Amino acid sequence: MNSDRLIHELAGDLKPVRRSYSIWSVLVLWTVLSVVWAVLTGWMYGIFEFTEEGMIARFSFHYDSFWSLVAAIAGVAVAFLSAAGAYMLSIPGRRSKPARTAGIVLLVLWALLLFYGLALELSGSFRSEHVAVFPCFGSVFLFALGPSVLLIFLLRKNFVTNPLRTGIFSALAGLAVGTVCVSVYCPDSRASHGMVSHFTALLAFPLLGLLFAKFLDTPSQPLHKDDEL
Amino acid sequence: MAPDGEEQLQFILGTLMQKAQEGDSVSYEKLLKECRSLIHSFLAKRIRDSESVEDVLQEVLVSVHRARHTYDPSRPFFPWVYSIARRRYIDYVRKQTRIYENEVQDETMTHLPAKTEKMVFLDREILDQAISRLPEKQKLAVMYMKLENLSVKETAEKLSMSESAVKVNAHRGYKALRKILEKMEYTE
Repeated sequence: MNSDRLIHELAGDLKPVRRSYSIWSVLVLWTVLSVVWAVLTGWMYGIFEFTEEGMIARFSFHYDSFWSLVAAIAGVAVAFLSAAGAYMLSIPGRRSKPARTAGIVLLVLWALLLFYGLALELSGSFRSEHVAVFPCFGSVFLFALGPSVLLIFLLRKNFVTNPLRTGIFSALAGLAVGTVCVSVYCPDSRASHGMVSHFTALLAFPLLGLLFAKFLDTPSQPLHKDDEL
Repeated sequence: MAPDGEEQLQFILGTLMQKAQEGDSVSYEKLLKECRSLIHSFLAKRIRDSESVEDVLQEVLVSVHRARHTYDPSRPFFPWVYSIARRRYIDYVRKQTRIYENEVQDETMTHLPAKTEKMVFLDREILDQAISRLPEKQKLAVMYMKLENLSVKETAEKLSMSESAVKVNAHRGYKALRKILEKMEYTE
């Protein structure tokens, strides 16, 4: 088929299309549904008290020090920026680098804050509580599952120009949500525990990204059957 | 083209795409024709073989069609379309690399002894018979490269083809030949 005929066929087959959702619509939808997922998953664990007192008690238990509060905020920012970066990568010609770079910088800041908490814990100047064993590593993945799958679903509707990068940043966004959620629900507030059981799970994002990339690929469609090797 | 002219063209193409998103097929045809020359020069700078340029160009046009809902009319058109072209060009490069690697692997395999250290000898007559069943281009590529031991470059010159086209035809020929010989029960 020559390109003239192809153009003629494509134009003849034209139907009106609805434009892709804007980044803000996608982020708002993603946030709302991720919160719903987090609450439902927490409820499934049966450890969250849905009362104002219960929530205040939970937050004050975990975020009673400045570094832990900033670390949690950094985690939320990593999730948003990574999701924004992944979205940009799914729209041809959009610049994703600023969002991706900021996401990685905040990820490093998050890790540094955890190290700071760990140093305080080791020096004994930070009072921490170890309550019970909580299956944190797996829980991070469970909490991350909903946001990750949802993001992949939303991005698949666009045209992903770099499936691997998009997959990696989608995984980072999902796992950051998972890590932040688990840090709220987890009965263990020690920095060492957060470092080993929560943050380590987050670092699996490149591997998970490789898997997601397979779902995000927009392969070229061969025009001739002979071209398929 | 002067920067002003470029900006003007970009604006026109953006407007045409906006109309295409609303279902205006006349604007869309105009847009694709304009895009074709842009994409062609983008690809021609990167791919030597003109047949491959045409193939990749068509793939880019199909991708532009599939991705047309992602274009935002408030943004410049060129980064959008070139980003799609770049993606398809990368796919092409990967495909070529894969073909080359398979070819090397196939060639290496033919020089290895069979599993049981028993060599399989093919009767030239049978081999000729199998080769004769190949499509013309594949047959010539295999004959020149394997039976007459010509290089890819020499074969390309003899057949008036590009080197990559020779490689592709030879690769397809080896695969088809293997299948034919398997049917004839002359391979393991």
